[in-house]
Amino acid sequence: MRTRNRLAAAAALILMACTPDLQNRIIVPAPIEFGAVAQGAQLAVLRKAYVSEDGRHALFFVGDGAAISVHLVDKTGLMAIDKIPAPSAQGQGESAANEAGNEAASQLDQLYLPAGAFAVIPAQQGQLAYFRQGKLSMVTYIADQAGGLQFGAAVDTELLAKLIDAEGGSSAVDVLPAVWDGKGSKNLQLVLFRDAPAALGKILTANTRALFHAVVEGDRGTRWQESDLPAPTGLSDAAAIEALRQKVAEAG
Amino acid sequence: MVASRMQQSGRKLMAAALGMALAGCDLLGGGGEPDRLARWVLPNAVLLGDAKADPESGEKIQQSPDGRGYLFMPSPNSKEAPTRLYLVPLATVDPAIDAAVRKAVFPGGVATYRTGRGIGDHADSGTVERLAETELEAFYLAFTIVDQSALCEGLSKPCDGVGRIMLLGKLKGRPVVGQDSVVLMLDALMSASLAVFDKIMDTAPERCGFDPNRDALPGHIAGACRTMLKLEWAHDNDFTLDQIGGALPLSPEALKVLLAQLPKGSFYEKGELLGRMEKVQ
Repeated sequence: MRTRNRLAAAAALILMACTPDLQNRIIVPAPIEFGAVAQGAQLAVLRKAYVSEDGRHALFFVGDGAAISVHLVDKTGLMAIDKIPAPSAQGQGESAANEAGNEAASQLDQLYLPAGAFAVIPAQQGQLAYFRQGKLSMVTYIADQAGGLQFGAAVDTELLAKLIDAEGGSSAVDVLPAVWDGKGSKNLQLVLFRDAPAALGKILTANTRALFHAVVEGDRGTRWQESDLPAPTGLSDAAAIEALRQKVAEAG
Repeated sequence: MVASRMQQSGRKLMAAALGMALAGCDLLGGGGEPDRLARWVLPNAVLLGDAKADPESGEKIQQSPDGRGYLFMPSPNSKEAPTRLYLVPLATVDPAIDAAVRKAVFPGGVATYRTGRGIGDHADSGTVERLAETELEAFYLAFTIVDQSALCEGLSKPCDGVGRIMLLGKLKGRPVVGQDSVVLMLDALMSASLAVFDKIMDTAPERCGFDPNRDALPGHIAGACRTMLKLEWAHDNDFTLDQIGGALPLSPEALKVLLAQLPKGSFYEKGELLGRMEKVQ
């Protein structure tokens, strides 16, 4: 019944776009211990500028491994990641500030990165982004790809549960059975973190590709292409930012 | 009948205990097998209309092997799995809820809906149509079951679970499945699957250390707080989360909890039904 497929597909699309409340993510109500943050050559990929697949946005990073932030450029220039509106004002494009903030928020949602600083943790074939908000820790993946990066947060929670159990960390989590509806990735277990298992950082860095396979191979990653334009050295690097602005303005 | 059911659940309990012992730890929080709802659905499902192939999509519809539902084979190049759909009359699950849904969908005996409306659509496309309650035969719950879609026995053995539930209305004289089928799809159950979390969401600012409803943050961060609380509520109430973050019941008792939420929700917005008439080509 195409009805069923249309309904489910449309529901999934709308809810994913508007409310990224997906269940297969690393969300921990405590700090997570990682071995070390990225340093020196490990940050090389983040010293480049990247352009979105449709060519309409560019991004670059400012900072070091302990505290790095992503910045976005559209045809009007630096995007307003500092003007993300409160939920009550979100989706309302009445004021230009709201609209600019909404667009910035939308880009950050696709990248699964915060508006502020995050730590960069070296991982398999890429790096993890580790950031906190209030009491929560979140970990997402920035995968290295030939000529680009792929961003995402979707984790194989079935594998994650097994790895946590193997490392003796089960007392820090509750595992729920999941039921697959036949579409997309097949997670049969969901993980609810009550605390951060001591080995969680090690598990994530030693099994990154297997855990985040949906980001790289599936449809859960947002791909950005490396730009031949130089990455701005900082937010006051007006010339480099302008060059990126012109580039993305060409895409319309 | 009772004796064999007790034997069955006794066997299941032993298998679950064995599974957990072998796993070496108490992994299962909620404690119940995730195929309980699916096992309840099968004997309660009814067949409506003939099963025929959908010539446009290449999707094939047949009767399911158990003879109680419909088997959908995906198009040849699709990555989707074969799924089975089972229809259970809402009135046999909960007559009071069925009556409440009827009243909510047909105020004054008439439903007003917009054609061509997508989910969450606020567009003005399509036309406004009316449907008399007398044209409705009955409301059904449609359950999607996929082979080996869950893990039973201490999360160790594949079993079949209910991955999605929809609420639809069957029209008199029109089949639900197959050619010439038309159904009235309602968004209300999807809304209910989110509304069950309302109470635990009140604790969000304290639990997350920020307010996902008020603070100016990217949606994915607000969503992280909500997801954590949803998982917690689901774990404590014999639910899990479906693919779009809604509450998915794991047992018939949990299903009743979900259905109890239905009458509390909105069926209309600005005078138009939150739903649509679906024509299958």
